Amino acid sequence: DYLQEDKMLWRTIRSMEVMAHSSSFLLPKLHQPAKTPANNYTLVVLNQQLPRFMPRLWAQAKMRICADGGANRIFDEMSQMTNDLDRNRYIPEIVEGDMDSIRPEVKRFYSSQGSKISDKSHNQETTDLHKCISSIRHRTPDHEKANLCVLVTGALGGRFDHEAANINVLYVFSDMRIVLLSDDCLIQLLPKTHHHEIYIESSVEGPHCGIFPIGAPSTSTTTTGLKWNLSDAEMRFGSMISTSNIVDSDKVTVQSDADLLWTISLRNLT
Amino acid sequence: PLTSRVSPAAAATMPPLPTMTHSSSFLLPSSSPPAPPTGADAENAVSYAVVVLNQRLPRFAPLLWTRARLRVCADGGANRVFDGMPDLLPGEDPDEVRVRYKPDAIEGDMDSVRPEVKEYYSSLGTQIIDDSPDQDTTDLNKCISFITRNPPGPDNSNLFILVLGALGGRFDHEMGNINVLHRFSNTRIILLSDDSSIFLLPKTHSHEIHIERSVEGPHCGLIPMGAPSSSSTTTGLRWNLDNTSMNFGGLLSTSNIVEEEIVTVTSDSDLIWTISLRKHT
Repeated sequence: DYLQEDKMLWRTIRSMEVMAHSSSFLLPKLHQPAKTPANNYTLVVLNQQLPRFMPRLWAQAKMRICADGGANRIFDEMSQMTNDLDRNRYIPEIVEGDMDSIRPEVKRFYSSQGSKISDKSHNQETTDLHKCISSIRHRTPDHEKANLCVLVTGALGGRFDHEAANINVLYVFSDMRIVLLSDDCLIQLLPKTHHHEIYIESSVEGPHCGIFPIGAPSTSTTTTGLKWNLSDAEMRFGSMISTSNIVDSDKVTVQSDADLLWTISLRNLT
Repeated sequence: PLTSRVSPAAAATMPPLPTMTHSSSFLLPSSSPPAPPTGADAENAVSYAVVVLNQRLPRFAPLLWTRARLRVCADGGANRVFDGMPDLLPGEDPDEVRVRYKPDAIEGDMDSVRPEVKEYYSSLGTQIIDDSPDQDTTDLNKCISFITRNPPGPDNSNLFILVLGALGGRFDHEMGNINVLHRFSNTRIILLSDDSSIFLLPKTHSHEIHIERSVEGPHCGLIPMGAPSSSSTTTGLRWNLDNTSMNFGGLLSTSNIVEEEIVTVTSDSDLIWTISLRKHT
């Protein structure tokens, strides 16, 4: 009947929701744009050498969480980066994880300075990053979830199985904005449920970028804003994936039938 | 149970998968480079090629270099050999080290290799292959193609290509390098960093991985990169898979532990095997 037909038509013409992305958190505080897709930043520090631009991330974040040995990294490396010998200026709100890497004196120091120590050693099923993201999600009220963006350092490089597990966290928590950062690049998930608009901050990122169907192949991906755009293209490991691409515009769009990982190189961030 | 089992009748009629064995014996220390095999041995002997990409050399680079019969640098990888080999052999004269550790070829678009490094190796006889950048193939891809067209041994059947500098750094490079494992799934290619070794376990074979405990482990993982696996089975791990499904968004086998000297893996999907390398390797 005509009512059913109308409903079906409505479902098919309604366009996919747009998800906007911006790396404005990499800009110095003074250069923050007035409006950004998500500006409530939580920082998670994993146990690898801190990226050069850590002070900038620390300043942006409203909440800082050290995952286990990530606390050693802040304790040891932050003051060198900032030429600021006062460790008291860089106290994480939370230290969380299975506590098998954090040094006892580091744990004591942060505890004495007011950090909440969240010992999850009873749970050996999940990685430290997984535990942190899970707690963040649990702690964030529903109405604030859309505005939340979790920035993670130390997730890439190091042991390959750790890296794969950290990337898997992006897929497991695909309804959250999570950005993995290293000195060289950032990566984030572009869920297939949305049409993506990625605003490029060319002073700090690019031009090298890439898009990967890590979880499952894509039979159709379309992009704009890249030097080598995809047009209803198939992407699959074993065949074509988009590596060493170049951003050619200040906005890149991506739409796909598969969840994709987006990566872009970082620069000028000392 | 996450997957249905093949019925006994069907299983009885399915031919078993051929076995592929894997070993990291190339990481074992040796006091002198092995002499090239002769006679009947030569036909079955394993031969190694080394590819150096543009990242800091892992600490075992000199060991693998001397094991290899063919050494190729991808563009800026030549800088890494020029600068890094003397650093890894501090007791020796840098100039002598550079002559000894001379690549057979430098391949790529030459936008990263320093002109003086290129000149130096060229004057020593290194083949310089100037390739323009191309969206469809990465530097590693080009080097693998070069090696398979110019194998150091009689053919490629026992050739193992050891790649340094493929992991870490720019993520799109890392993904492109892993994709090379999938694209050349009939070639033995191993990606090595200071922390890990990774290689492809094609679904066409049942795998036996011989663990060299003195240089690798115990941490390991199995990753279905690019496509989910609905059924994988292992032996020899602390948490074995038993017809288990794995996919991004769900279960991956990471932070697993090798418990036996031989790990076996069978899967309906290509998997990436990774194992940690010991610090003194």
